[in-house]
Amino acid sequence: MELKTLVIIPAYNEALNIEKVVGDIQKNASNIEYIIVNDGSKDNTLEVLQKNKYNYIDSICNQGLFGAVQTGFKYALEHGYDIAIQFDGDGQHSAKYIYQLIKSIENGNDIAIGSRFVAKKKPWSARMLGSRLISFCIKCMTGKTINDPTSGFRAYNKKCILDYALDMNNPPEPDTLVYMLKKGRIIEEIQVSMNEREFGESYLNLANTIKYMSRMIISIFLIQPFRKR
Amino acid sequence: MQLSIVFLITSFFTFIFIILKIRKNGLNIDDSIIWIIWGILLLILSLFPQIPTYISDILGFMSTSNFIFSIFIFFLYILLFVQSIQISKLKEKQKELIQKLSLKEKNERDSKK
Repeated sequence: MELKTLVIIPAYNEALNIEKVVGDIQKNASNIEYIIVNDGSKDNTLEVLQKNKYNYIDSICNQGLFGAVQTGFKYALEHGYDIAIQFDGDGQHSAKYIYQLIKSIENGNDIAIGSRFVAKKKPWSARMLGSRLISFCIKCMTGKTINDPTSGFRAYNKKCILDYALDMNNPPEPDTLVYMLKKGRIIEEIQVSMNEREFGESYLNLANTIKYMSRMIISIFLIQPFRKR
Repeated sequence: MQLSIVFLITSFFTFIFIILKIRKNGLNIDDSIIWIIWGILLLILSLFPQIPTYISDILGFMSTSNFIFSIFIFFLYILLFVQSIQISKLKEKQKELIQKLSLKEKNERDSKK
């Protein structure tokens, strides 16, 4: 039986990247359906989407990454998709790996993560320090190794779509993976390579990093273990 | 010593209460982080009462409990202010939402004619 798959692409001010991203999907994963969630962009992302007649949801206000991705999950739930794939709108991810993630879900895994560090070693850079720390925390709490917890390239099966679409405390972040592991969901990592983003800047600065890390650590150690399964 | 025990119990119950709320889907994890940090701080202060005593001596408080009260009031002030900001943002967002929906409805009606 063919599983119905939806690629969810959250886009916030991605007018310069989105054409390339959708072009990549149409070329390298042509029979897979996609939905773009325009998260109240302030640039002309919406016009680009309309001009190209892409399949998109235009969220009325800006609601942040979590809200945008969740909109996609709710759409997937309503239309009865079996697999949802989270895919960045900034061109970091390559569509050619989508089939491998789907394959992994078909093999019975609940979540498949497109990971940069399965076969390759994680470099000892300042940027990867946070990633290492989160990996270590996850290992402590669940005993499972997730090499690339911050990767935003993930595939979810139907059970997980339900979890992510309806729970207010399941943002698509590493701490939710701990919750999923505690729930007994099986996570597999697939080696992928990612590109540097071409246009626009990421949110990473010192203050945000500290905020993000403290949230992750507190959440992983003090909140996730006590949540209702 | 009694004060330490009170703190110990307070921080413990704060934590339990937060977790219960999150379990019932009544509280966002993001919004709970500050309370958990506060709980941990209380725990540290109660386990090592030398710390508040030392700091209050340096700052010239009449007694340690005065210092503790000051910290509480300061924390509550900050939190209240942050919440005011959040409420303003929410109000603004809600207004924006209603306006956009109303405009959308108007446009749809016009295009039907």
